[in-house]
Amino acid sequence: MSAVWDFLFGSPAFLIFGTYTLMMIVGLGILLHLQLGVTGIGNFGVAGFWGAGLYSFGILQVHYDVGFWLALLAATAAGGVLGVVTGWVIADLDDDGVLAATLAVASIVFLAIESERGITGGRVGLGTIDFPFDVGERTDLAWLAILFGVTGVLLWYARRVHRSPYGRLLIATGTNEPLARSLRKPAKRTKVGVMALTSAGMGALGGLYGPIVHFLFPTQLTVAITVSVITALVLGGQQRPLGAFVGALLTVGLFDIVIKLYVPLPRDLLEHAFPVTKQVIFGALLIFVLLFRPLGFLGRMRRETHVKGLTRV
Amino acid sequence: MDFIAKAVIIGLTEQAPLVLAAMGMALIYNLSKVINVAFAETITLGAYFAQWVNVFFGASFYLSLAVSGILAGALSCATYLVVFRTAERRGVGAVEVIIISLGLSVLLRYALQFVFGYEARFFETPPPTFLKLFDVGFTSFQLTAFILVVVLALLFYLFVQKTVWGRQVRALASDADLAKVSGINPLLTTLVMWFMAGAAGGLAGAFWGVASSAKPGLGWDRFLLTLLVVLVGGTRGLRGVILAGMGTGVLLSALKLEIAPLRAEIVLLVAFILVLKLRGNRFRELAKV
Repeated sequence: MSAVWDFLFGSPAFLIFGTYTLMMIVGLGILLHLQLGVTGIGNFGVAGFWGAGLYSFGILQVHYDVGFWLALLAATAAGGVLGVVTGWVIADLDDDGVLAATLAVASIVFLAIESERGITGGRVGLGTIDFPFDVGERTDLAWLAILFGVTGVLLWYARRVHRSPYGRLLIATGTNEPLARSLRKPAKRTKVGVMALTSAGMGALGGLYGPIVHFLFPTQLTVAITVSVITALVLGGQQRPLGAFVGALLTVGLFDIVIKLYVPLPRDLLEHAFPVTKQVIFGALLIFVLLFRPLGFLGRMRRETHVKGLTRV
Repeated sequence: MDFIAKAVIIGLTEQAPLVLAAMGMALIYNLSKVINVAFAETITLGAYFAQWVNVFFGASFYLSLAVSGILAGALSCATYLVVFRTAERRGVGAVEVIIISLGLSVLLRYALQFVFGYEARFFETPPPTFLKLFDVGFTSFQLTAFILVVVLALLFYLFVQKTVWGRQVRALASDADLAKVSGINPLLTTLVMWFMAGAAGGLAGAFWGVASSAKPGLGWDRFLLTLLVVLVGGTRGLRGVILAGMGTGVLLSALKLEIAPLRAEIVLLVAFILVLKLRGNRFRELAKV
C-alpha cells in the first residue's frame, strides 16, 4: 500500500504543477466552449487574453505592490477590455477575419510584452510573484484547491448558460446569425458581450497562474497554449460544457501528468523528443477528430439531442 | 524624400518574399475559400528543402530554389489530397476547416523537427557584395532575391490571368458546377493550383531562409502578416495582393525607421485590424436584399 502511495504521490511538486496546468487548460477550454462551441466565434488568440491577465497581475504585484484581490480584478479587467475591443472588431467579420483578428490581438499582446521591457521585463522576465497566503508546506495544495473551485464555478456557469434564455440567444447567434438578426436578436451586441465576459474569465485565469510560475516570460504565451486548449475542447466535444474537461484529461492529463510522472522515460527523451511528440499528436488529433468525429467524444449539445427526442415523439 | 527612398528600398528588398507567400496563399483562398494555416509550414519546409539541397548536395542556391519550389508544391498537393479534400467531401464547416489546418500546421511544424533537427540550419552561399542606393545599404543577394521575386510574382500573375490553366482555375473558383459542366477537370485544376500555391510558399520560405536560417518557426512567424495581406488585398484579386504585400513591406520599413521594430510591428497589426474592421461587410449582400 505504501509502495503504491509512493508511486502515485512520490513527487508531489510535479504532480501539483501538472494538475495546475490541467486545471488551467480546463478553465480556458470551458470559456472557449462558450465562444466557439456555443456562439461560433473561433478565437485563435486564447494565449493573448490569458497573457494580458497574467502580465497585468504580475506588473501590479511586482512594480506597484498592489494587493492580490485588486491585481486579480485588474487582470480580469484587462482580459475583459481586450475582449470588448476584439468583439467589436470581429462582430462584422467572417470566420477568416475572426481568425486573423484574434491571432493579431494575441500577437500584439506578445509583442507589447517583449517591447515594453521597462515594465514587463521583456525576455529577461518579470518576478517574483508569491502566493497571497502562506499555510506552510501545503500552500501549493491550497492554491490547487482554489483553482479546482474556480474551474468548478466556470463549469457551473457554462451549464447554466446552456439552460438559460441568454444561452438560447448565444446558440441562435452561433448557429445562424443572419436568421438571428432577422428575428431582431442583437447578434452583434451578443458577440461583443460574450467576448467581453469570457475574455475577462481568461484574464482572471491568467492572474491566478502568476503565483504558480512566480516568474513571467513572454515564451509562456506562445501559440502552444491556444493549441492545447483547442485540442482539449475539440477532442472532448466543443458543444458540451464538460468537453474541455474530458479532452484536457485525455491530452494534458495523459501527457503532462501520467506519462511525465509515471512512465520511466530517459531524461533526454523527456526533455527533447517528448514535447515535440506531444505537439505532433495534438496536431494529428485535431485533424482526425474534426474529420471523423467533429463533435468530439461527448457529441452533440444536450439541448439538440433533447429536441430531437421530442421531434421523434 | 530621403526617408521615402529608404523606406521603399528597405521595404522592397527585405519583404519581397512576403509578396510571393501572399500570392500563394491567395491562390488557395480564392479557389477553395480555405484559409490554410498549414501554409505557414509550406513556407518553413521550402526553406528546409532549399537548405538541404544547397548544403547536402552542394548545389547552388538557384538550383536549390527550383528543387525547393517543386518539393513544396508536391507537399501542398499532398496536404490537399489527404486532408482538405477529405474535409471537403465530408462537408466540414468553415471554422472546423481552419482548426484542421491549424492541426496540420502544428503536426508538420513539430514532425519536421524529427527529420531536420531542432537547431537552425544555415545555407552555404558565397559572401555577398554590399551595394548602396540613396544611402541605403543592401546586399547583392537581397537585390537578386528582389528581382527574382518580382519575376516570379509576374510569372504567377500571368499564369493565373493569361494561360488556359489559369482561366480554368478562375472558372472553378467563380462557379464550380458550371466549370464542371463546361468540361473542366476539377481535381486536376485544383491540384495544379495547390501546386502553384505551394511552390510560391516554398520559394518565399527559401528566400527568407537564405536571408537568416531555416528554422521550425520560420513560416509561423510570418503567417499572420501573410494572412492579413491576403485578406486585405485579396478582394482586388492577385494584383491587390501584390500591391498590399509591397505596401506592407514599405510601411513596415518606414515605421521601423521611426520607432522601435517591435512597436512598428504592433502599429502595423493595429492598422491591419482597423482596415479589416472598416471593411467588415459580411452581410452587405443580405442588406441589399
